Amino acid sequence: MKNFGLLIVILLLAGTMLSSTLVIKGSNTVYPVAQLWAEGFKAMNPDVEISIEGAGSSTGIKALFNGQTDIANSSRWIKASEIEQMNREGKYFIPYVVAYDGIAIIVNKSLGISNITIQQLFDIYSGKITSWNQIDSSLPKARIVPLSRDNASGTFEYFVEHVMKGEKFAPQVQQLASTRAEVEQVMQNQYAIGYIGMGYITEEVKALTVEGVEPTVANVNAGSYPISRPLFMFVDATNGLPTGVTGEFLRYALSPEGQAAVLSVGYVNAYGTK
Amino acid sequence: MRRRRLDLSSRVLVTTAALITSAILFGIFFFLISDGVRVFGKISFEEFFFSARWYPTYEDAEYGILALLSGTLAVTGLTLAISIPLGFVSAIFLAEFSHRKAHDFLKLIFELMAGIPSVVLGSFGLKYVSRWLMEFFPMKVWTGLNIFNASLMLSILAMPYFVTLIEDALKAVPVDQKEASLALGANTTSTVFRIIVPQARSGILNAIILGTNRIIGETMVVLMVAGGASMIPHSIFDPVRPLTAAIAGEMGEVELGSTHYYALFMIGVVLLGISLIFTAIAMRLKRGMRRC
Repeated sequence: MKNFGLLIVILLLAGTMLSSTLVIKGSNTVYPVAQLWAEGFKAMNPDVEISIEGAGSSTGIKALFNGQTDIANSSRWIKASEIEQMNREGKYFIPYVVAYDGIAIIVNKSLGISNITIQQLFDIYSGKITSWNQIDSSLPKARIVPLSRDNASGTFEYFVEHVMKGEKFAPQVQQLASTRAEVEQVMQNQYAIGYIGMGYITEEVKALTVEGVEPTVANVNAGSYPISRPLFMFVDATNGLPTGVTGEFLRYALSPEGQAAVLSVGYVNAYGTK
Repeated sequence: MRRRRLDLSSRVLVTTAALITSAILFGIFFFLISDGVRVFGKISFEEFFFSARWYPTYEDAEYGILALLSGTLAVTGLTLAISIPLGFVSAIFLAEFSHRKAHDFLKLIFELMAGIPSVVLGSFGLKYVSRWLMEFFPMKVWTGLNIFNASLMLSILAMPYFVTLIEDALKAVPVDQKEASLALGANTTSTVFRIIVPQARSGILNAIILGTNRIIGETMVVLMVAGGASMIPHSIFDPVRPLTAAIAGEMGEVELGSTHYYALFMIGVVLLGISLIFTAIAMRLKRGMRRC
């Protein structure tokens, strides 16, 4: 009976240890997977309150400086100005690579092309090249049908930033409402080209090599695939590695179960899945 | 005394209901417009209405809706051109020429058509119609998602409106008119086209107003199959991005209080404006008809 009472005390203590709140702010790109992690984490620790906000990477890191967030999601590395600020304020933030975001270029299986360069992609999407035979004279003299995701999607933003370097799409670029719609059109249309999150590649379409590199998880992990980027979670480690809920949450995100969630939202896992 | 009180209370009830409906409607107008006009604090009136460049999410954003507006008008126009004649002929057949069995069967078909959710039609257009279009017109069609595809799908959506409402209008013509015409020796065809249709004009116009407003406002179908390219179309096989598709595709991710946010509200106002203008024209036509 005495032991039973002790057990209850221990359980209560263990309960209170994890019964707190966790605030996550930052990148819209990381948001969908962070949300899945929050759901999974809450299922295991029902007492934890988690609030997630997607407001951009810079906003997240700013909130980390102000102490308004426990974790700052970021789809970019920390900037020089932010390192300066860390030095000034005597703070030390550390990154965790939680996933990779890779973009695959897909075409119809019947099109006789297997590789594309970043420059060619730029020319196609900005409307400088409009016919396939301008890329390779062995390709048919047919109008290129460039497809894109809606301009609200993170994939769109990344593509515009890294392939287009901020240059605008030509008006005839078709913005489709879902990745599925893009794959469907590429299947149907011999002359269509589209870009999708690597997690969505299927057998029904052909994923091109970009600058000669195949879009595989291994190449993304090795950093050799040109249109991919790591996704980070930054935490304040001024007083040591994160403990408590923040530490538990990161451990969950990097666990095989957490990494499986990464694949389910179309990103590439950074660590092994189950 | 009691009857008067009853009359008074029902009048109060009806008036309150009407007032609440109008208040809600004007409330929506008010919030839509008050948010929408704020876009002109940030960009010029000319850019918004006369530029065809819609690039709301770039560093140097542009907010011209001309291409989107032309997309809406093209899709709506072609849909009307397909569905009004078909709907009109079907309604005449149903009202005047069909036997009971054929009538009931067709009526059932149109009722089923009216029940198809627009997302199902969108998926159908995306998966099948776009493929068929590319197979049937391989020279002209460079993308299966285009104005024509969207118009076909929207016609399926709008046909039941046109058929049912036009049939009702035809049936509402007093039967003695028809009998008088037949008694004078006119055959059914000329009775229908000389007597019944002219008498039902106002009801037919009503049907067209309702159906057209439904087409202009339809979102899911055009988001899925109109093609999503913010370009001014040159043929019915060009892809377009109608106003409703832009709102639906972009509202989810837009930052509250940004120029893009207000621009999307202003697009809502423009849609409302198109509807109002169209209804006003039809009303005037109707009034003109009654006079002659």
